[in-house]
Amino acid sequence: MRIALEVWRQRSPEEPGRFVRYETTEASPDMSLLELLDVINEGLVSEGEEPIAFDSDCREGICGTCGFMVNGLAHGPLQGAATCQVYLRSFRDGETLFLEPFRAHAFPLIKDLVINRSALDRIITAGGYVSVNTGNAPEANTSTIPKDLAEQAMDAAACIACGACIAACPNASAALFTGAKITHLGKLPEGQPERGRRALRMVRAAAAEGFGHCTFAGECETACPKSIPLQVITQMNHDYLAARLRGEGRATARHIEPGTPKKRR
Amino acid sequence: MATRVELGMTGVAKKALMAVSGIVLTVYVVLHLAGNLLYFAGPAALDAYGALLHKNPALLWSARAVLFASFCIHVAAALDLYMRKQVARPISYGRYERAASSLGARTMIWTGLILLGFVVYHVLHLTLGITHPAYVPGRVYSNVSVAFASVVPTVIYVVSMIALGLHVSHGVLAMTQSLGLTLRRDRLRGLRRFSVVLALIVALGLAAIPITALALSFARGR
Repeated sequence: MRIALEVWRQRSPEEPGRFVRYETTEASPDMSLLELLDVINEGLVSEGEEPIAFDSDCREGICGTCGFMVNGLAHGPLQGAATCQVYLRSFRDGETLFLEPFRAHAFPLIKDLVINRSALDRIITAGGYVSVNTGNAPEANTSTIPKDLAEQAMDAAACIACGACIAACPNASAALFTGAKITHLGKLPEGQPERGRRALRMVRAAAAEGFGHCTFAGECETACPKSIPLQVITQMNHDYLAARLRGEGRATARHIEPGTPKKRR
Repeated sequence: MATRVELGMTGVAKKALMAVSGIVLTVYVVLHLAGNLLYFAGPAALDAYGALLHKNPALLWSARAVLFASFCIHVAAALDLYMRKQVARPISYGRYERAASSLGARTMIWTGLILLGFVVYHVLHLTLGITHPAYVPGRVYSNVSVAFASVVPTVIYVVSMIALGLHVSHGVLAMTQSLGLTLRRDRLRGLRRFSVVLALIVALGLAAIPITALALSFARGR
């Protein structure tokens, strides 16, 4: 199988990048796209050239480490699959594939196809947790969860933070990612006390990182390797606006020093 | 950095503003369509409807004020968010495919800009009569008939109504999610259909009037 690759090569963030063409006849339909890159890299190394830098870890679509644009689509042409789950049988013989890093202001490029996704970690730090007092684990049946809510929370919790939703979004919005984290915790009893605060903090953190706004085009839902539904964005907007309207976090105690006279003399 | 966002508004809050103003504008468009369809009931009905609207100046002007405010908020927020799009992705893709966006979603800013121009033209044309060849206040039916006797205004109106249809088809869907209202997947599917049907009704209904007026003037001319 003949495959040509147009790969984005950029040695460092400071240097300008460009597409470089690599042609190979060593491709097989059963080979994954990342394996093809491995093959090309072996050739480059043996010729003394710099190999193509790309991220990958588990190579079975569960870790969220890999990810780049394949022919203009985040994680390539298949729904519910990460880049590592794309096989060459998805492409025609002799096809040219454009490989480009995920692009967003908040995803600074490190090298070639590798980007820095720490911005997503900082959004999590802003509120993607539940505060649990230490001690014995509570008895499992003390808080019951309706099946529907458990399903919705699990769908959202499937997020592997790969960044494809941001990459596919025409506005580079992190709405699906942030919404997934907010929905995952906000649907469960343990997440209720911090629900409003979490939505406010995480949405503000996403804005501070420089991610764009959501126009509900639906690209993220299609790009997501875990097929997280668009409803998580609606849930995020719902929780955020409800917290804003309630004036979440503005409650202040009325402190009067005991012994203060009731009437000014 | 966090304080900057604290003082300003997040994209979610701005989109909520756009949604609320969008609801006002959509309700107005539907009412405007309902009133305008009286064109097909004849000159007496349309002129009586026009007179009814002008009966209470206080009500008329407060409605116009709400509309104008909604319009300004909607346009300002849209342009502000559109500018931020380039900031969020400063280096654009060499190749970028949109797999899921509807035609309405892809063209939102452009149909919006067409409608911005159209609203200005429409007010000058049939409300103030400045760009109208023979405007007589109160004679609504004859004003419409004269206005659309020529091809150019008719084409401008029909193109603008196609833009309105596309804008409404995505806008009605997006406004409900911006306000966090469609939390169930099955309802979202129904809402998608509803917004397309509403867009078709609004665009076809409003475009039918200039097309009919032009056809009638041609028929009369021969």
